[in-house]
Amino acid sequence: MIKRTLLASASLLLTPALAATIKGADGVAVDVFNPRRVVALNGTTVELIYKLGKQNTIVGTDITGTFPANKIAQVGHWAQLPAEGIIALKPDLVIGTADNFAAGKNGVVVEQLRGAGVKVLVLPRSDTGGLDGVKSRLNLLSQVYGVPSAAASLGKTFDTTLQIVRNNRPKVAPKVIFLYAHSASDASIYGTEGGANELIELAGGKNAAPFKETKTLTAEALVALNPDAIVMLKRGLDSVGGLNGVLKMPGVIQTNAGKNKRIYTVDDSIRWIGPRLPEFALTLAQQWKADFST
Amino acid sequence: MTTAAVKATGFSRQRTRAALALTILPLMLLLAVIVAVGTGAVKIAPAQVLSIFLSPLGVAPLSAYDEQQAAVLSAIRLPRVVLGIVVGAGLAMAGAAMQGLFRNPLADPGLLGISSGAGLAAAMSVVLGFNLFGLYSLPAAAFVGSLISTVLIYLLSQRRGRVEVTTMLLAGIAINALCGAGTGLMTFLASDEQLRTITFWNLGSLGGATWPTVMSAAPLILLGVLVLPLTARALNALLLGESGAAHLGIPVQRIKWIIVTLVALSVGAGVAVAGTIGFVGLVVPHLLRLVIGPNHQTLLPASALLGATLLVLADLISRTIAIPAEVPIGIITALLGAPFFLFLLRRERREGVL
Repeated sequence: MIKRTLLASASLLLTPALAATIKGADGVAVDVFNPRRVVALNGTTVELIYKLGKQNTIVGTDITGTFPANKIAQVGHWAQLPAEGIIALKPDLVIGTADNFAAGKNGVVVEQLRGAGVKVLVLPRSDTGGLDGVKSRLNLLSQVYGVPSAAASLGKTFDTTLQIVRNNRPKVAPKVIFLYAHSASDASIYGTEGGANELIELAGGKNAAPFKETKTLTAEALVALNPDAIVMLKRGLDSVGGLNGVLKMPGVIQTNAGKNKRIYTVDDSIRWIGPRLPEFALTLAQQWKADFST
Repeated sequence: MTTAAVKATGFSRQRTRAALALTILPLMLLLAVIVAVGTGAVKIAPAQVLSIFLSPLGVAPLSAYDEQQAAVLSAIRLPRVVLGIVVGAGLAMAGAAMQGLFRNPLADPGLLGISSGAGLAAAMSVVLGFNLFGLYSLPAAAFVGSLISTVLIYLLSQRRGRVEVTTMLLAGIAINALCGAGTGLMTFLASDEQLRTITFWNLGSLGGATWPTVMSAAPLILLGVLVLPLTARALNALLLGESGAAHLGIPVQRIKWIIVTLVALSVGAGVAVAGTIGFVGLVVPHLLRLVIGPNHQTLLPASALLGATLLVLADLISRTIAIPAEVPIGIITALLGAPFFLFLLRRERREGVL
C-alpha cells in the first residue's frame, strides 16, 4: 500500500499535467491519474480507447468489447457485471456507460466497486445522442488519458467523414426497415430510438418503423409499410440463411425491398453508437446512392 | 409377523439415517461456507481471511492483507455467502412445508404464485420505471407482488371458511398463467436494457448482495425457518389426510393459514433479493425424504441445512467457474441437483423403497 502511494506521488511530480478530476454522467467526480489498468465496459468504450492509442491499458471488458479483435479478459454480460470479478483484475479505473450501468443490479455493483476503493467513471449513454454523444464520451476519455489533442483531431476526422456522407446520400430517401433477426422465425424491428436509427438517418434513409422500441412486426404490417430497403446485422443475415433466406421470410418478397433484393448488412455492434458510425453510414449511403439514384 | 418386522427395521433405519443426517448436514454447511468464504476471483489466503475477521477484535494480523482484500471479503463476498445460506434455507424449508401441506411431492412455493407474482411486479417496476426506493425498488416491488398473488390465491381457494387444497392448486395455476401473461406484456413493452434486466432477474443471482439486502430479507426468511419446524407434528398428522389430522386434535385450518403465510413471507423475501432460483424448493426436500423418510420433525430442519449448503455451493461455482465472469445461479442449481436426484431416484426404486 505504502509502496503504491510512493510510486504514485513520485510520478505525480514528474507529469503533473496528467492528474485530473473528471465529472461522470452520474454526477460523481473521479480523480484520475494516468490509469494503467482500466476495465472498459461497453464495446464503444473499448473502441474509443483504441482510437486514443491507449489500448495497452485495458485489462478487462464485457462481452461486447470484441472490436478491434483482442484478447482482453471478459467479465461477462454487460447486464450482470460481477463486482469481485472486476476487482480481481486489479483496475485503477473502471469506465462504463450510463445505459449499461442502469441494467439489472449493476447500480449496486458500482457502489460495491467504489466501496472497495475502485474508481468508477460513468460515461453518458451509448445508445442515444448520435455522433455528438460519441464526441462527448471521447472528450471525457481524452481527459482520463490526458490526450485532448487526440480527441480534437479524431473529432475533426468524424466531421470530415460526415461531410463525405452528406455528399453521397441518395437523392430520394428510401423507406428503410431495420430487421433485427435471430432466426427466420424470430425477428423484430429496431424502432426509431437507438444506434440503428442514427445510422439510417445519417446515411440518408427514412426509418419506416412505426414505433420507438424494438418490437416484432407482422408480415402484413411489413407489406403495408412496403420499405424500399431492409437493413440487417451481419449475424442476423447469417442466422436466416443469407439473402435467399431473408427473401423467404413471410412478407419480405411482397415489399419493394424484397422484389428488388435491396437487403443491406451492417456491423453487429450498431445498437451502441461508437466511433465507426461515420464509416458505417458512408458505406450504406454509397450503396443507397447507387441503388436509389433514379 | 414378517411384514411388521420389515417395517420395524425400515423405520429404525430411517431413524438412524435421520440422526446421521442432522449430524452430517450442519458439518457440510459449515464446510461449504468455509470454502465459499475463502474462494473467489480476488485471491485472499486462509490466514488473511482469519486476520480480516479477527481485526475488529483488535487481534494483530497473522498474515498481512491490503485494504481492498478486506473490503472485498466483508462488503462483497461475505454478504453473498450469508444471503446464500438464508435464501437457500428459506426456499428448501418452504418447499418441504408445501409438499407436506399438499401431500404432494410435486408441490413447491411456485404453486402459490409467489415467484410469478414477484416476477410480474419486478418486470412492471423495471418497465414502468418504479423508482421510489432507489436501487431497492425492484426487490420491494417483487416482494409486494409475491404477497399479493399469494393472498389472492388464498382468498380464491376459501369456501365457507375452509381452504380447499385442490382449489388452491387450481387457483395457483390460473394466477400463475395470469401473471405469466402480464410479464409477457411487460417484456413486449420493454426496451432492450429492460429486457436484459428481466431476463437476468428470472435466472436468479446472489450477485450484488450487500448487507442492507441481507438485513432486509433475513428477518422475514428466518421467521419462516425458525417457526415452520413448530408445525412439523401437524404436517405429520396431515399425512393421514385432513379429517384424520383433525381427529388427532390438529387445528387444520389454522395450521394451513400459518404455513401459507410463513412460506409466502420467506420465499417472497428470498425471491425479491435473489430473483427466481428454481429447483431448490422442489428437489431438496424430496431428495431428503428419499434418504431420511417423511417425518417432518427431521425433514424440515434437514431441508433448511441442505438447501443452504446447495445454494452456497452453487453460488461458489457460479462466481468462480468463469472468472472474472459469472454464470447465473439458476443454471448451476439445476445442473448440480438434477443428476444427483435422478441417481437417487433410480437407486431407491431398485431397492423397492418407492
